[in-house]
Amino acid sequence: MITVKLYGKIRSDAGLKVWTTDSQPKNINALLKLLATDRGIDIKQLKTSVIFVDGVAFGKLKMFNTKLAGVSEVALLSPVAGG
Amino acid sequence: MKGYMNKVVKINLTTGDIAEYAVSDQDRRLYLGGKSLAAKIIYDNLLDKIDAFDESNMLVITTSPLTLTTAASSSRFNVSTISPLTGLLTSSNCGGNFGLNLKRAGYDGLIIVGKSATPCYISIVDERIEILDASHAWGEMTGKSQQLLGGPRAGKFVIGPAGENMVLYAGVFSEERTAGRAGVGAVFGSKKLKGITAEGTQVLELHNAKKFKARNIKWINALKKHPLTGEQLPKYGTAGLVGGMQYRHLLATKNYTSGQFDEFDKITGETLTEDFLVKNKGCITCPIRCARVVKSHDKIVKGPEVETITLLGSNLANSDMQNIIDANYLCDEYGIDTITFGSTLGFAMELAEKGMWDNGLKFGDTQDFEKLIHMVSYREGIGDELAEGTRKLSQKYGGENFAMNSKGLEFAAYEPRGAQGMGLGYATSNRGGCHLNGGYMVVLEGLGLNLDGNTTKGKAAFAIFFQNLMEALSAGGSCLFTSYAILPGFLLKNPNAFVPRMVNKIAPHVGGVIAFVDHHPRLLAVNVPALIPHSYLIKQATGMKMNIGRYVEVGERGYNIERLVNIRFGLTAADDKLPKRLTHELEDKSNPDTIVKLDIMKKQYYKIRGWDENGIPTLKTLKRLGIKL
Repeated sequence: MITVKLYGKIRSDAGLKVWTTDSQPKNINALLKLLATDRGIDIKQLKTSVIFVDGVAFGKLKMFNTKLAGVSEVALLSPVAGG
Repeated sequence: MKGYMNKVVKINLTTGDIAEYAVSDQDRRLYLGGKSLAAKIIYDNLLDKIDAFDESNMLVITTSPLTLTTAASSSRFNVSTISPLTGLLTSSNCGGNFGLNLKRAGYDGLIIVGKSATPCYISIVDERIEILDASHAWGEMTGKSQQLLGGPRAGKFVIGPAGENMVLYAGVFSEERTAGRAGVGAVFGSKKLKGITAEGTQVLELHNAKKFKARNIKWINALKKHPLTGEQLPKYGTAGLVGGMQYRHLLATKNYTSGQFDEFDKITGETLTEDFLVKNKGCITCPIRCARVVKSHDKIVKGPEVETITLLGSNLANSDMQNIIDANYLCDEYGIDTITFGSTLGFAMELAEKGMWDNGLKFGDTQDFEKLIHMVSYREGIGDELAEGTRKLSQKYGGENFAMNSKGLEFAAYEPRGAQGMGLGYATSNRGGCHLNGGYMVVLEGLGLNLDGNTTKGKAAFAIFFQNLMEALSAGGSCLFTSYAILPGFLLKNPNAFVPRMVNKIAPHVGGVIAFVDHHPRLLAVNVPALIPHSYLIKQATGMKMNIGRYVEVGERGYNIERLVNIRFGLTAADDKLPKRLTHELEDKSNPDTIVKLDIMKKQYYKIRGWDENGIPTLKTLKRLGIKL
């Protein structure tokens, strides 16, 4: 099972804090497609998220092609913060 | 000069003398106002080292040319003094209603010296200044004190019991906003000055009101459309940073032993919004409206900022948001800085954990906040020691390596081992471990742009540029949050797109270019009002020859004169330091880059600043900036 934690605007747009899936999408791209379909969110918006895969910035991995085998948590953060 | 009331007054609380203090137009051009002009006044007047509670210490309260204009987010004002916490120059910036009312009353600034024998407050009504009895308000909380002093239309600036009892990190309050840091409230208390009230009917004249208004409308619209100032900050406030800080190892946790807190989800901006928020709120003239109004038990109160949530939350292993909201409210009422209070508690908890001070405090146990805040404010029991801050506690009990301060001022919410530039900023900041005075590099290193936080490359040059820019923003009278809109929205809206990724990758390698600009700010002799409207608006408000280069140079000049005051007060290069926890203990044991490599960056920093190896501005630098020794 993969747990997706949502923050910021994506969280309010999706209307949920955490989304889980028992299916095993092969990579981040597939996971986001699944989430977009399930929650009716624009995939383009999801793809602007700052993404962490088991706590690692996905920019240090293979971005949208990052494989999800063995991964338990993906976090989608708002692209902007500031404070 | 237009944009100013052209009057600063000096008030001596010992003698009752009130006299005009001459500020030349040349100094207005060189320093604008706010913290930079205040530093110049202190530099000209405090020629020898004194103690913060000495009768001759000055409270210099300054507005800026944009104060009382309709410029976006410009209701801020500044108070500078010698800090009881650091022993050096400090400046504290505040929103609220006092600054613009001071100008309405006819003054750009106040210089307060001496000590009153009995509790007093200063009342200013249309240029009429009186020192009045405040014994009826002495002992009252900050909210009640604002009701008791001055008329209903006046701007207020008051201390609470903590300031009266000279808690070294007491703040001064205007409405619900705070000049919080480094103990300016304690200096008020030492002078038996409960507060200042100001009101008036004077009108500020602008050089070209038509052009000013036209650009300002565009600026307000730009701020409202920007993803940071128009979306994220209004919706989640500064607390919206918590999630991002956690994932980037930037969330100060358990006295900065870590940058991550297991229970962070309970204290995010999202949680604050979903479970507590009633509405957002802003300072006068501010379209950003980042402040939170939250429900708490049967009250509607101000919500906590990210700094408070972190220092009273994760830093103490406390995941109880209600508990943090309650503590925030009480700190405001008693009049203490939540950052230093939280950091001092974290240090005291670790001392207890290590058996170095038997004080009964424990990480994760924060249900006694109410009692502790009272004890600190009245200096009762261990509260008397906690009222002194981390540096003095470490001098008594040991633990200097994990007393989380620089120059005596406790750090803000950002664990710097995941953000090298932020670490350098904390170490070199003129007022001590301050994120804002340090250049707020975390905005580039993960919380806005995504420059690699673990590399030192280019960080000294960027830190200097942003320190100077922040200084200029304060001197000109703008909220620092308006600087976010300088970052183009397209770089922020989709960090995964090709261009932002390239910018993040290349930026550290252009440190040389930024360093060149740091050296020659006048090369930016243009106004680009669509990008940086601040300098253009100051030009239209005052009639000064102002452009981006001159504006940034005002910041550089201010930064250097603050440094000169600090050197006069005994500062050396050895004081530009961090506790060993940050420079010698890895935050992430698996990543050797998660210590702050301060020595490397500090050398580059001094060189780019035009300071010698001892951190002293060279004569060449001072000459370029027009500062006379």
